[in-house]
Amino acid sequence: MDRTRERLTLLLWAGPAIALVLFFVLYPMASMIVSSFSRLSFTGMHQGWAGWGNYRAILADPALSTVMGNTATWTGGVVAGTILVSLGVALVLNEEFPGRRFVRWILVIPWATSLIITSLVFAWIFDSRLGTINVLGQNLGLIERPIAFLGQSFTAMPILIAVGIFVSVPFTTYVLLAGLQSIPEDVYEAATTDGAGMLQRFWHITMPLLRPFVGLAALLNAIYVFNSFPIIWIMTNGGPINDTHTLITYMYKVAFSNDETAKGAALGTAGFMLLLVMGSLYWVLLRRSGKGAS
Amino acid sequence: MSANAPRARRRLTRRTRMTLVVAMLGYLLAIIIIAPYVIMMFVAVMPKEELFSPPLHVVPRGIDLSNFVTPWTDFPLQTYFRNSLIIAMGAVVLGLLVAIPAAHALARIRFRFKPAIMLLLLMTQMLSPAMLILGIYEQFRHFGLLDNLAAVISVNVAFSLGFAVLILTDVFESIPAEIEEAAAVDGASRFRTLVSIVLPLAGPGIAVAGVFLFAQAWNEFTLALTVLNDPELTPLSIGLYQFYGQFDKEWTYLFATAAMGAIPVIVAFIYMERWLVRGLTAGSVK
Repeated sequence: MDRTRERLTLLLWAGPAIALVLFFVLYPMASMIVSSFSRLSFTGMHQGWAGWGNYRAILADPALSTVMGNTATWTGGVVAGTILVSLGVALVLNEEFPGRRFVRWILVIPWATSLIITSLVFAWIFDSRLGTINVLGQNLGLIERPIAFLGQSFTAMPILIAVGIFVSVPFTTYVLLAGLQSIPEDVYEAATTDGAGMLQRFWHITMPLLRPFVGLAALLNAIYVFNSFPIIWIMTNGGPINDTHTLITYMYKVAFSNDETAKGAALGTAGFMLLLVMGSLYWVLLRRSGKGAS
Repeated sequence: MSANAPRARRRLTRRTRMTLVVAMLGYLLAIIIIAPYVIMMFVAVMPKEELFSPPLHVVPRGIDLSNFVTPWTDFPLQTYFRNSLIIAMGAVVLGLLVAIPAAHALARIRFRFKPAIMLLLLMTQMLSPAMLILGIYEQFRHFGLLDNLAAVISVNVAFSLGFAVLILTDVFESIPAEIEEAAAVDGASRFRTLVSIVLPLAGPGIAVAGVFLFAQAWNEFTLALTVLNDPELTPLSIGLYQFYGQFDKEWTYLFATAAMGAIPVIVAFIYMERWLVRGLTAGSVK
């Protein structure tokens, strides 16, 4: 009897949260999967089933290989860069120095500022005419005429990745700082007594103990970066041609600019499946690190 | 003792040198991070003509604070800020209202399906409105939710719930159950206990969850871009994007407005910075 009451309470207390997720996350997900197997009219009305037709259409799309390559470069580049930079930043911010509190406040800024604003600022900095880099470069005599940094593939993607790293470092640093602070001080003291130098302490104590946090941060970043839309949409809109389109921006373009909703849904579903694989990894890692901690 | 003194001094100087290097790296980092926003402020205060008149330069020579005033009359900024505020405050209220009881139940009641519910919540953490945008658009059209701020708030909350519930569950778990049990013995209902005993103790955790809900909704872009077309419902993020999309970009107004929009969230984040590290270890998630 007590059991039933508890269950009822649970339903009442957790019910709204579950309902919200079911209706606003699971329903759209199902809806997108259904669309990906449908034939849709120009206005998006269901006109019967397409089987695997939409998936065959994306496989036949000549842009697909470029888009998938970009998605891998973008995700891999941002995640690897973010982890490397954040590791350094966390090590610095874990040490006491005058003004550290102030530096930490500044570190929070790119995290708190919306991606739209940060993207717009970098769009300005690399603007082909008035941008800061072009103006400074010309004034200092480093370049003769303005360069369209975001208009040529070989500079656009690296810049996008740099911006991606810039906005991901704060969160990642905080995860790694949490990891560094979980390492007990006496482990270091014991190692120092045994004559371990700074580098040895770093390789043999810090790195192994930090590894679960690095793994978690890398995975979470991979998920966020894979999902990320505004930076690319604002700074290059996928251009030049399709050279900076990732799966998610290309999907948006296919669905809303080209009005090929069903094909977009197939792209979205494929992306979702890829995320699911990453997410399962996240779940396994989270459970393992949870077990390790308790 | 005296034999140890030189060694101690040497170690001390090594330590100071180390602190110096670390401090320098820290300041360098701060400069790199703040630089783009300083450039943004340079443009925001620059007189409009100066931006285009050669010789082009980065640091403004004059300062024109009217850039912060003119947009309020030339563009519907009031509407943008109002809508963003409705969306963000709505997300905080709805989010906490839904997440707090759920987190408390997850922290206190033992039941079989707990991992399943956790998994469901973690999934929201993994996905973004951007990835599911086609499904959301289709759903909104089907249910007549296009151009509806309440629906936008609900979606924002649904995708932030994973984080909010997980962090609050950890916070509630860290509060000893005995305190609540004692209140229950005294005849207080579950709800009374939550409101009068648990919530006051969980202040910092709730603040972190609240600030995240606010920031996520205030900064959201893709969903608003797709499902809000009514100019009366345009939030700031989309307003800025539309500024940017204009053929003749008003960079000074754009960045003055962006600064005004960014500062409230930055202040909120700095305020909760001291709880961030603890909050992140607790939740093990963003």
